[in-house]
Amino acid sequence: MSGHSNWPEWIYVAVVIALMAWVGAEAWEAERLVEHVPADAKTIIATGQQWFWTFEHEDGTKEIGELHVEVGKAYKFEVVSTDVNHSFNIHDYVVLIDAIPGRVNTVWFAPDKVGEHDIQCREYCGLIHYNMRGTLYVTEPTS
Amino acid sequence: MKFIFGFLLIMAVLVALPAADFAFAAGDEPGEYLDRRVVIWNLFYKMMTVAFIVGSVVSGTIIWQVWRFRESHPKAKPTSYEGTDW
Amino acid sequence: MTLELQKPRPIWQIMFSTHHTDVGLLYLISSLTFLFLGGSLALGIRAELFLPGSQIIADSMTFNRIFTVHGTTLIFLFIIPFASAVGNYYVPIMVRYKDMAYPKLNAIAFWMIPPAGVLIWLGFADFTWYATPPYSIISAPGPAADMWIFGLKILGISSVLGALNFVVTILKCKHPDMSIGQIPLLAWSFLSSSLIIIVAIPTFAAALLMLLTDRLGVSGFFNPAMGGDPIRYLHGHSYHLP
Repeated sequence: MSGHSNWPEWIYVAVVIALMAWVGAEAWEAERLVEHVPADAKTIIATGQQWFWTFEHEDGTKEIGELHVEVGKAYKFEVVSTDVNHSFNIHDYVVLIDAIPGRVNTVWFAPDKVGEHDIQCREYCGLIHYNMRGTLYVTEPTS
Repeated sequence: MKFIFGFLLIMAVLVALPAADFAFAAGDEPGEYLDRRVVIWNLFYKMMTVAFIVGSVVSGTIIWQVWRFRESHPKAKPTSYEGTDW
Repeated sequence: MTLELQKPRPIWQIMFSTHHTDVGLLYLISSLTFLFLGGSLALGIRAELFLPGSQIIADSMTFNRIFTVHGTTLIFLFIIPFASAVGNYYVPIMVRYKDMAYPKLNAIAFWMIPPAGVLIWLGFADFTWYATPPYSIISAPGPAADMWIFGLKILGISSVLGALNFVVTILKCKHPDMSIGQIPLLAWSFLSSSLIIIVAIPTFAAALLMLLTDRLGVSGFFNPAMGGDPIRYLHGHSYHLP
């Protein structure tokens, strides 16, 4: 079926490939930036279970349903689950990562303003999934 | 042909170079952490812009093409299938 | 000129028919019925979510069941059989053949859908239409989950049989004077989606079978304590759905 030239089709293919390459590069770059955990980030183990969140700080302090952090510091969450799949979400800081039994998922953030924010579960986990909430308290540094 | 090549070159300069510059300038010290909200939402705005540009180009092309090659167009030529059975 | 009306065909003749137009009509009736059933669940959800607090749904478990069955119905019992309805009616016409390649198999593929729908609706499972483990294994109450799994397995077999029919009809039963490049675009789209179904649904069925054996306790595919990984289910499930 050859005999007519088809350079417009090849241009279209080239444009599509270039577009996809560019989108891919932008997304890769954003992912790289967002996943690069600062070296001085403090670790917090966030445990999800039916139907509440618990947190354990580096110094051993444990909190249930509430999380107190200091403004301007970087924190790294190691999110785990003891029973079914959950998803740890601090909506206002775009922190969203699944809690899967048998693995540890990592996400980091650095709060920049004092205030209170909601923590919620974003993966269906049963009866009280809709109310599996907590509160993030961002406070001034104590030291 | 030259137009498209020039356009792509301009896009590369306007977009790719600042992006690389921004990436290497990102800070890692206390007080200078990257705000993940900003990175994520900026990506969203860029992708939305691209999506709408591509969408308008594609749908605009289709609309032009449907309008131009309609049967009642003054310059419409009969196809080679006129008079055949199926 | 008087309009001559035929006596309408007896219902049993349409129900027992294997002709592609009748099977397409049956698919259409069944899928639209499930559209209205699943849609009424959606209306229930919207009525409940209209205001904060509980409106018409008493407890959260009922709400969870409603959105699960709503999603399952609209995808597996409406959209997929509806596509099959359109295909069954038009594909033989498009390739200028008298019927589908295997008419009786076609009818069997359709008649699997109502029993599967009944299984899903009688069970009314609550673990979302994704049925992600570990919740679907350890927490979902009652036989609802097993009924859902069986219902979806039957639907999967039905889809594969229908897809096989489409592929053979389009490739092998098209009119001899028609080259493959001359068949209509819609026939091409049915050909490609049927090929995809034949490849993808068995992986979904495998994921469902693993879910079932995990629920029965004989395996630990998705149980970390037995060496498994819940994410493995998503690999089998998400590969199918797009």
